[in-house]
Amino acid sequence: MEIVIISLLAGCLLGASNVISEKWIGRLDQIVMAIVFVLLIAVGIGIGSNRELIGNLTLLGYKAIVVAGISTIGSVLALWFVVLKVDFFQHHKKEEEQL
Amino acid sequence: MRMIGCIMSAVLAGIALGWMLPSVNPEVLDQVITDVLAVMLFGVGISIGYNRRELVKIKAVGWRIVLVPGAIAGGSLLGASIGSMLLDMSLKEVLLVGAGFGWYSLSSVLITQLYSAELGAIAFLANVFRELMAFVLIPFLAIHIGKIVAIAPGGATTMDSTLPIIAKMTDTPTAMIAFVSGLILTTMVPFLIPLLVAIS
Repeated sequence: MEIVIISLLAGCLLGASNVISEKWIGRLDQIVMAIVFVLLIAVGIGIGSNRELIGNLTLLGYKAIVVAGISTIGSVLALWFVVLKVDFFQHHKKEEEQL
Repeated sequence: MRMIGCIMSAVLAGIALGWMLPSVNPEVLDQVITDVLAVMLFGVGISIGYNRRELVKIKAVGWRIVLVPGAIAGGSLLGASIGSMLLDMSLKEVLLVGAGFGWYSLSSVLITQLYSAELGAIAFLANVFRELMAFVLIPFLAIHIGKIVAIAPGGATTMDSTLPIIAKMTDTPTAMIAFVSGLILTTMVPFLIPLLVAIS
């Protein structure tokens, strides 16, 4: 799994250098998207070839909806709390006036 | 919405393929997934590194911007942790699923590789659901609660798939904050998931 982190960091370094042109970044997004689809098919194959997993898909879906719902609500409430304490736009406006 | 359709189709096609194939060697499949994942993250890394310049451009918003992804990450994990009380899942499992922040492709693959195929499948579905919920919640939150709060449901996706809807429903400064927040959360996922697997 180290290879995954290493390639991410290597990519970051390459992206931060001035080697890549904007034209290539646009193409890169399409390439990444294509790879994502290959990965999704591979994840699907992993699920499909596991009969036990297929049999449990309804239960897994139920668990997934619950976790997705409460973690989304959690993030909304946490950010709402932060927004009540910190005025992002006020700060932004002040900075703009200074600029 | 078209994107979600394509995503679900790809996974369903994979499931059908996996079902029909006489035997899939899980080890070979794992190796292929890891290699493809490494290539994909190299590409994502280039994108993150390149967008570093965008970060410099909005320096004016100040350090407070990190409070947005911080609150989203903390809130997501805290919310998910309640799941261990409601479902037949351990705290570690719900945290792993919640730590995807909507990035279904990476979180499901990482969790499948590092933990189990079953939790990987839950992570995939949960993070797809999160993205779907984000599309519905962003307009609602932007109108009724506040522009910044509307960034929360998107999680890591606010730097790509949900950014257009945030930009449409809010304003440019909020869209920029959303982009940076998504970028930070996206960078966190590949570190946070292995960390959670290792520590708890």
